[in-house]
Amino acid sequence: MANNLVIENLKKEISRFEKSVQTQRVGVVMEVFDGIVRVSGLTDIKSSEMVTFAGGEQGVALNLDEESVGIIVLGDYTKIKEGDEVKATGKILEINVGDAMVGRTVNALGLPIDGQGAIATTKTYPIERVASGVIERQSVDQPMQTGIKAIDALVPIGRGQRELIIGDRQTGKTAVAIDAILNQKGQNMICVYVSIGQKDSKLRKLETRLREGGAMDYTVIVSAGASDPAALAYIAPYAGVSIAEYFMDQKKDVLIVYDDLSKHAVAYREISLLLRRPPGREAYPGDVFYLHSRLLERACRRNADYGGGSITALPIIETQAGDISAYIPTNVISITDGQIFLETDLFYKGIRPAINVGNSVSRVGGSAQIKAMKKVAGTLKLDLAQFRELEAFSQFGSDLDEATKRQLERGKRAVEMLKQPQYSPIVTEHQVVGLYALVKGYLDTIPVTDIARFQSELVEYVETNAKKFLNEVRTAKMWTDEGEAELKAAIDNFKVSFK
Amino acid sequence: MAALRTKEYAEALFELTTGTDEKETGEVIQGFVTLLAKKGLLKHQDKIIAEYQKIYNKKNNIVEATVTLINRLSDTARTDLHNTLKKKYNATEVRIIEKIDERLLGGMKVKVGDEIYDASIKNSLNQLEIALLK
Repeated sequence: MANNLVIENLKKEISRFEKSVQTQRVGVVMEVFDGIVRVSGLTDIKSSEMVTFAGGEQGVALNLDEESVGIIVLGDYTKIKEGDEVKATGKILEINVGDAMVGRTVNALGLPIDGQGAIATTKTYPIERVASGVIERQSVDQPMQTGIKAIDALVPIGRGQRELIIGDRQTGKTAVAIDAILNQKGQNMICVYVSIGQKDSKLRKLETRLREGGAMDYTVIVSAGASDPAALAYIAPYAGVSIAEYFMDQKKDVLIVYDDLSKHAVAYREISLLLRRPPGREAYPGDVFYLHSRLLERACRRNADYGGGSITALPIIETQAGDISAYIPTNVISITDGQIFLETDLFYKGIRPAINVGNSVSRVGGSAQIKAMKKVAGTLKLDLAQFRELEAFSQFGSDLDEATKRQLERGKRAVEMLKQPQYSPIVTEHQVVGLYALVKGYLDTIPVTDIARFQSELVEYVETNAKKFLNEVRTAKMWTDEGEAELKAAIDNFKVSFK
Repeated sequence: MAALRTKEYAEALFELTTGTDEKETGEVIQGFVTLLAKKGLLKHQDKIIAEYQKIYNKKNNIVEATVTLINRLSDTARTDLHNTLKKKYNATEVRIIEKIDERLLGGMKVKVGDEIYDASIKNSLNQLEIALLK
C-alpha cells in the first residue's frame, strides 16, 4: 500500500516537472577578482537580487552598471571562471528564520555552522528591510537590565534603545555585551549575538561561556569570521537583525549585539573599493553613514497596536588609541541613543568594567529606569561628579577641609562600589541595596579595600533580613517607608557584625 | 572602460551607416577602420562587430535564438519554434542557431539574449532532485 503511494506521488511529481519549462535570465562572467564578479548580461536584474553561479555559489548584485553587473560572491569565489553562466533568481537576498534558530550558531546566510545538523525553519525574511515607521513605534519605557551596576545605575538602557559600546582594544567591550546577554536569563528576552570579523577561537570561547551560563537557551549567534569573505561580514549584521525582527514579530523583546561595527565598516570599504565606488574620508565610501544608520534604525520598540516587542541594539565600536573623533566612531555615536565609553587607563587602574561614567550617556534610558534605581542613582551621579572635580584638585595639597575630605572618601567608595568582576551580573534589587548603602553614607566608615566584600555579604544578609524591601523593589519597582526602615535596620545590624 | 567604448564605437558605426548608400557606407567604414587603427583598437574588432550585430538586430527587430539540443532540429520543429519566437518577440525575422550538446540528455534549451527557456531533460532532472531532497 505504502509502496504504491510513494510510486504514485513520485509519478505525479515527475509529471509536473516534465511539463514545466522555465524561463531564466542569465549572464556571463566577465571578470573575477577578490570576491567580486563582473557579469555581462543579466538585464532586468534588481539591486541586491540573489544570483547563483554554475557551481552553486550564491552572489548578490550590488552594482548595476550600464554594461555589466557587479556581484559580490557569498562564499568561495575561487571556483568561478570567466565565461561561467550566472542565473538570476528573481529574489532579493533573504535568509531562513524560525524559532529553531535559538541556541544555534549560524553564518551570515542563516546556515548552521555548529555541526548540529540542519535547522528546521519556517519562514524567510529579506536581509534588507525597511525599519518600522513612526506609526508603529513607541517611546522606550521598559528597562533592559544588563546586570552591570555602573550601567544600570548611571547609563541605563531601555528596551528598544541603541546604546553604543565604544573603546580601545582590550578594554572589555565584548565582556560588557556578554554580561548583558547572561543577565537576560528569565527576562523573557531573545538575544542575537552578531560576530563580525572575529577570530573563530574567540567565538568558540564565547559560545562555550554562554552555554555554561545557560544563555544559549535564548541566544542565536550569527558569525562571519575573520577568514570569511568580506561580503559575508557585510551582510552578517543585517542577517542578525532580520532574525531579531522575526522574534520581534512573535511579540518578543530582543537584544542584539553587533561585535563589532568597525570591522563591518572595513569589510564594506573593501567591497566598495573593489567595486570601484569612489572613496571618501578614510577611504570609506560615501554611503558608510547610511550603512550603519539603516541597520541601527531597525532597532525599535513597537507599540501594542502593532504587536509589541522590541529590538535593543548594542553596537560595538573599536577605537584606535582612544580616538573617538575618527570617522566611524563619530558616525555611530550620532546614530545611537547614547554610548558607554571604556578606557584603557581605567582598565589598568583596576576599575573594571572600565566605564568612564563622565563621558558615557544614555539619551533615552532614563525614562526606562525603575523608580528605586533612579532614586539612588541620582545621588550617586552627583557624588561621582564632585569626586572627579575634587580628585584632580586634591592632588596638589594635603590640607583639605573636612567636607572635602568626606566628599573624596565617598567618591573613592563609589568608584569601588561600581567595580564588578566579569560574568557576574547582579540582579537589580541587589544593586539597589548596595547603592542605597553607599549614598546613605553607611559605607563611609568601611575601609575602601573592604567595599566589595561588604557589598556581597550585605546582599546575603539582606536576602534573609530585609525580604520586604527586596520584594517591593522587585515587584513594585519602588520601596515603601516600611521597606526602607527594614533595610536601614538590616544594614545597621550587619555593620555591627562585619569584620 | 574598454567594454563601454566598444559599445560606443558600434553605436556610432550603426548611426553613421543607417540610411546611406553603398558608396557612402564604404567611405564611412574606411574612415571608421582608420580611426580604430589610429586608436589601436583593431584588436577589439570582434567585440565591435558583435556589438554592432546586437544593435542592428535590436533596431530591426531581429531575434537571434541559440537552440541547444542533442541532435539536429527537424524541419517541422524548426518552423514551429520559428513561429513561436516570432510571435513572442514580435520580430520581423528570427534567426535560429543550432548547437549540439549531448549533456542535455533530451529536450531543448533556447537562448534569446539574456533569457533562457530550459526544457531540457537535464534541467528537469536537476529540478526533480532539488524537489525530492526537500
